Amino acid sequence: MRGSSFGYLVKQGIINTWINRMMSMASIGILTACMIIVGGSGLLAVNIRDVFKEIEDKNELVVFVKDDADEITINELSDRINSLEHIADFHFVSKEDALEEQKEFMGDKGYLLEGLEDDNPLPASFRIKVDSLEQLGYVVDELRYHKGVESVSAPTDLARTLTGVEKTMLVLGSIIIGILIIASAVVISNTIRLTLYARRREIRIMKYVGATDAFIRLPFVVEGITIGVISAVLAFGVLALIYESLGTMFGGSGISWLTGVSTTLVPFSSLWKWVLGSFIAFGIALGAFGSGSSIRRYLRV
Amino acid sequence: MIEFRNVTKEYPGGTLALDEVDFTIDKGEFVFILGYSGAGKSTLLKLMLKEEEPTDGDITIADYNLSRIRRRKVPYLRRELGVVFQDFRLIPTMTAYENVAFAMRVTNVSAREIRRRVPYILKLVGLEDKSQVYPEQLSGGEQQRVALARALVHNPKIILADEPTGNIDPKLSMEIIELLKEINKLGTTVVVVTHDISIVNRFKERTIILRNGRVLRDTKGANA
Repeated sequence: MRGSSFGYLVKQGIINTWINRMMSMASIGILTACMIIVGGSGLLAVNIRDVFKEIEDKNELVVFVKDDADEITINELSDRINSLEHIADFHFVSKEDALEEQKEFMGDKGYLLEGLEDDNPLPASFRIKVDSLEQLGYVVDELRYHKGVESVSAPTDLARTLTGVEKTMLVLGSIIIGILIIASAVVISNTIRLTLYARRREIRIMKYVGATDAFIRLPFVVEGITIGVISAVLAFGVLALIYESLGTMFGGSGISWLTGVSTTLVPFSSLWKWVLGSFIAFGIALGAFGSGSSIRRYLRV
Repeated sequence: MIEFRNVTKEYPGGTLALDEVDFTIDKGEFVFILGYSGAGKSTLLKLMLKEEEPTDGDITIADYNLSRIRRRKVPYLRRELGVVFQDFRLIPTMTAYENVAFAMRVTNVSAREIRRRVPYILKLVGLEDKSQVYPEQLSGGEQQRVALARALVHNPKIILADEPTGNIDPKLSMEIIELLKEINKLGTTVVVVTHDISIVNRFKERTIILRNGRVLRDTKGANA
């Protein structure tokens, strides 16, 4: 296809969008709303992931070693931990280290523990970091009944809750987003169908004078894509505003549903390219698909 | 140029529109296809444009075998054919010039070629003064000439005219047919489908008469 023809067809597509502006506006509205919801869920998910990451990073599981365990047993246990999957990091804390740590923790009251060196009540332990919250239960189960293990302490309930929340969100989010995508495609396809109806005579004539399908289709695909891109830019603007104002609301105010977890949002500056890019890609894909699906019927002449 | 070999077309529901139709039209011929409504004329045209598929038989048009041509190639077949319709089928929001230029533009012709060719064709059909006029301001005969210009503009091998005189008065009808004969003299094969026996009688050209989907008579060579 030569450049002048391509330019002509693209222009026709944009003119179509304008001539059909009432319907175009309606579909831009719906598409924008869809994108805000989809993008908003995406940003929420990013932030929740961010919080999870923080919890995961801090999260430790502690394997307490029996006082009567000898060096061989402790070495065996160490090897066992080393051989397990999903272990990010681990280290051994001896009874003496544990006491030192406790003294430090108690600060100026540390003197209370003086003299316990010979009759140390604190157990030796392995401090283990797991690479994912989900694997916490698995590691606990593997080590709980190992020789020389007194007990295992881990926030498995928290882990279970968090991974549960994450999974539910993923499933629910996917369903909602799926429905919205279908709705948007239907709306775009209906808008294009109106243009097609208004231009059916021209399309017939185009067929009779030997225009190829690609030639006939292009203006309508351009119309769909125009609607998609305008919606993407609008949705991006609205979402950016909402996100920034939420950021100032939460910023440092100390509203926290988990102590020790930062309350600031993931900064928008690190996300905007990703958001805008996926909106535009989404708009283009949906516009092209919506128009392509409605034009097929008209091409069969 | 146009070849129908035992072409039968039966529509779903059992209507037999064409029954073993067989004829050949050579390059440079001028042919009337005459028949009352229901004789199968429209079906014949639809088959030539590959809007419909024959139930049986073979059609060849300008070296394209229509039973073997791929869907993707159909637009190129149609570029060999210039079609003129009874109801003109002009686009009301475009001037005469734009209507003709549109047909070139959508077939991927350069803007320069369009600027060169459209005025020439409008002059050929005698509308050089009306190029900036919209269809509704033109008479029926003039609209039909715009439609003819549009059919001619990409220099087709064959002109198919479907009742070109159906919507215009008798005097102008004669003018349109005269114009088609002029075009025929320049080497284009012309097929005029009509039910108007007075035109056929007046011009004494080869006539294929269709009745009930069959070729009743073909005056080829007889020069009736």
